[in-house]
Amino acid sequence: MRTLAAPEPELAKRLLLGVRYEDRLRAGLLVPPRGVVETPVASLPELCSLLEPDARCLPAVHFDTLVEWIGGVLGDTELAGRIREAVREGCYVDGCRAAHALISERLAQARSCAGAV
Amino acid sequence: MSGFAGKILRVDLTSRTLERIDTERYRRFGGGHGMGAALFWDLCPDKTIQDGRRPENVCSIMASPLCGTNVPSAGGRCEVTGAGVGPYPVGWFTRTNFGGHFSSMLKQAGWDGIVLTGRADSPVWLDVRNDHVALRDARDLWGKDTWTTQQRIRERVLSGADAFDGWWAVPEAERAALTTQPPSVLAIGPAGENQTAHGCLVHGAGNGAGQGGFGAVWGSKNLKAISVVGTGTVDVADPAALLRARFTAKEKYAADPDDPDLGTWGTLNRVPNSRPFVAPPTDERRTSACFGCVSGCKARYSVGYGNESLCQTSNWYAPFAAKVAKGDKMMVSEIVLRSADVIQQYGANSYTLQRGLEWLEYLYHRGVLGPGRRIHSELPWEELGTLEFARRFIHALATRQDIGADLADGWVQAAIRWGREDDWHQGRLPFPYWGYGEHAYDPRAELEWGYATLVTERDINDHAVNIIFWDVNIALAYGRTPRIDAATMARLVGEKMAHYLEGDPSGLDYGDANMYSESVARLVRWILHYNRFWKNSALFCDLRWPSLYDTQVDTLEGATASPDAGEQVFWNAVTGEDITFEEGLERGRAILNLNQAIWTLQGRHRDMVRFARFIYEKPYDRFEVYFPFYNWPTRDENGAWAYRSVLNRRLSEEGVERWKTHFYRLEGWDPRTGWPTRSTLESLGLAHVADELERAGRLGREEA
Repeated sequence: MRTLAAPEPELAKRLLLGVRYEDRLRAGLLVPPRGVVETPVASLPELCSLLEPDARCLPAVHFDTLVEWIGGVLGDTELAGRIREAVREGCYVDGCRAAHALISERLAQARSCAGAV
Repeated sequence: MSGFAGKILRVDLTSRTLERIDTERYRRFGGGHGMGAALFWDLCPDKTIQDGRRPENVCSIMASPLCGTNVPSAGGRCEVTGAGVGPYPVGWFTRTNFGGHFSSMLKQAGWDGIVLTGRADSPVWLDVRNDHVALRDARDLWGKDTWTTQQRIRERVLSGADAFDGWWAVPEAERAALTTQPPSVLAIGPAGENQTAHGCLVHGAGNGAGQGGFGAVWGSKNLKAISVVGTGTVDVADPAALLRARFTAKEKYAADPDDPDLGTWGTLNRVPNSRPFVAPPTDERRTSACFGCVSGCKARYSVGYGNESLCQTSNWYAPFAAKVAKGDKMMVSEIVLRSADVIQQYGANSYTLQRGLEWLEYLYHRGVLGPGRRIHSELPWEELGTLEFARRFIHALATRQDIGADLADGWVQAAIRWGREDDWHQGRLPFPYWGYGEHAYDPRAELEWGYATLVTERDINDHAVNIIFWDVNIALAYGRTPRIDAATMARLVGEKMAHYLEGDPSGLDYGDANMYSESVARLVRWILHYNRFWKNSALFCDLRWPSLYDTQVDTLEGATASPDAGEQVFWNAVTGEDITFEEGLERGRAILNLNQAIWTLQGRHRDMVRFARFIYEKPYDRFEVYFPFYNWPTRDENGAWAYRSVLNRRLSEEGVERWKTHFYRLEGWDPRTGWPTRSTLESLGLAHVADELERAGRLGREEA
């Protein structure tokens, strides 16, 4: 798998700090038998945690919305594009896992970058 | 009277008198909800009551014949009934239910239930030790949380007892009997004492009777707690038959613990799972189960927090804690489970808090709520998501401080008081029915959940056919072929409901063309009649019953109504009765009619039976945004079954009215008013109910 290009410090900061209340990603967790628990996401660490594979629950996120939010609101067009490609094949859970892998990679890069700064 | 203890304890708090009522008089209602409704009918002096905090309210805490036995997932539930606090627009006669070891202990003490009337002039607690019952002074317990209250009462009961080596003496009729068991205590906390709609009843660490505001009902009656200890047993009519059915349930229908099928479809066959809805705080945990249950769905942890909090309570604060934890799941877990402890200790109901707090967060960010704003609040809203915020928020709600003063009567009531009614109409406050928050099974998609709630009085919280949503949509999310195709699913469920669906399984079709049909009304009737008898009165647990299909079985048929491990097999083995499964449903129909008669006297008319406006005006797009699946069995124009999406639609007012007319006609109620008719009530042995409705001028007219 191709690695993502290292983010600029400004982008890394934005990814880690998060966005305003009204700009959050509408997402949730599907927890049986409770249903979908709305869990709006403001930052990349929150998103990574939401998408992390977990036997108790499934992420509840629409991939189009996710890609749009990462590219538009967070301003990470590279990550958005890679996720768009990655979720094209396979089932929904495969898509969540592929997105999670990319987001994990980007999160590690962003933390490293922020740490260096 | 096998299965039954034979007597019900009536406690009149006003006169502080105790009375025994023969259970035989109420036997036909089974137990639980049925008996509670019948007792309410007989004992409530003013059934026009609209607020459960009035002294006329009659609150019952009822076991069933199955409590205290090893009937799988039916031995430990307990049903609470009475006029509620918090629903909108009326505190309808309602119900709630909790697990643990209270109802089984009640039976072992020789009681089928406790019915509370009147109001004490100062705080009391009820001390039940077998036949020895006393009301005791609770003034020093008032203000204490639910855990401290339970602990203090246990210490009091045990301190005066003759104890040695872990055993202690409980008085019996002629002598003392020994037990190692501490008393089972059901208590209220500050949320109940202050008579807020959030008040619930708590037993143990986390067995909560949440809905309906019964903590406020007890608070209004000055009743702090009930303690029960018993040394008897439950007489089972045919122990061999009970064991046969129990083994059949295990060997034929249940999961094999040595070789579990994690992708199984059904309910009785689920692999026991004692995890909370956030990451478990530690691997060092011990399963905790209600009496006689095969599930063990709760846990206790070596870390000492989050014990027995499950489901909604173990999740209600997670979306908010996630913001603070920034991806640290263990931090989310600790905040959420510690906030669950706070909820349990204050005796507050977490169910409505999650949806309500979403709305409050919105108001804060809109600049409407906060210090010096239109809705003044000094809570630290910028710290929402922290444990400290949760503590202060729950404290405010439970003690009527800050915004808690306005929220004390309920969420919709607060929206109206604050001039934010439009938030409710538009779904920003997502409370679709009777002042209850949406449960995640929106009426616009999952029809039975919405309709069943609409024609009763509270969020139905009944997963009877809702399990289909889970099995189908999780399989599709994983890209798996459904283990039961839609046509087979319709057949399997249709066969279980054969008497109601009359051989036509189309009631399960939630497609657009069938949304308002008579067949969906037939399906909802089955669910409600099942619910009212087998689940709420016999007290089979919702997480395991009904068992409509089961991939553990070659034929895919579930245990429900089966001749080897159906509900009636267990019922008959315990009680010595010889009823069919359908006769149980018929009892459920009688109980629902009794409910409807009470609601009618409380002021209900069909014109009030409406969803909130957003259900009619806005398409259900939530899943469209969050989760691309809400597939359900539907038929196409050729009648072919398939799992199809039921998203992105709204209900039409005309359609829902048409559906209500179907439902009322099928129930034998007056479709113009929704009121029960004499002929229907008399056919169910409820002529006295018809008489009272007639005297009140609220008896339904017979259709020509």
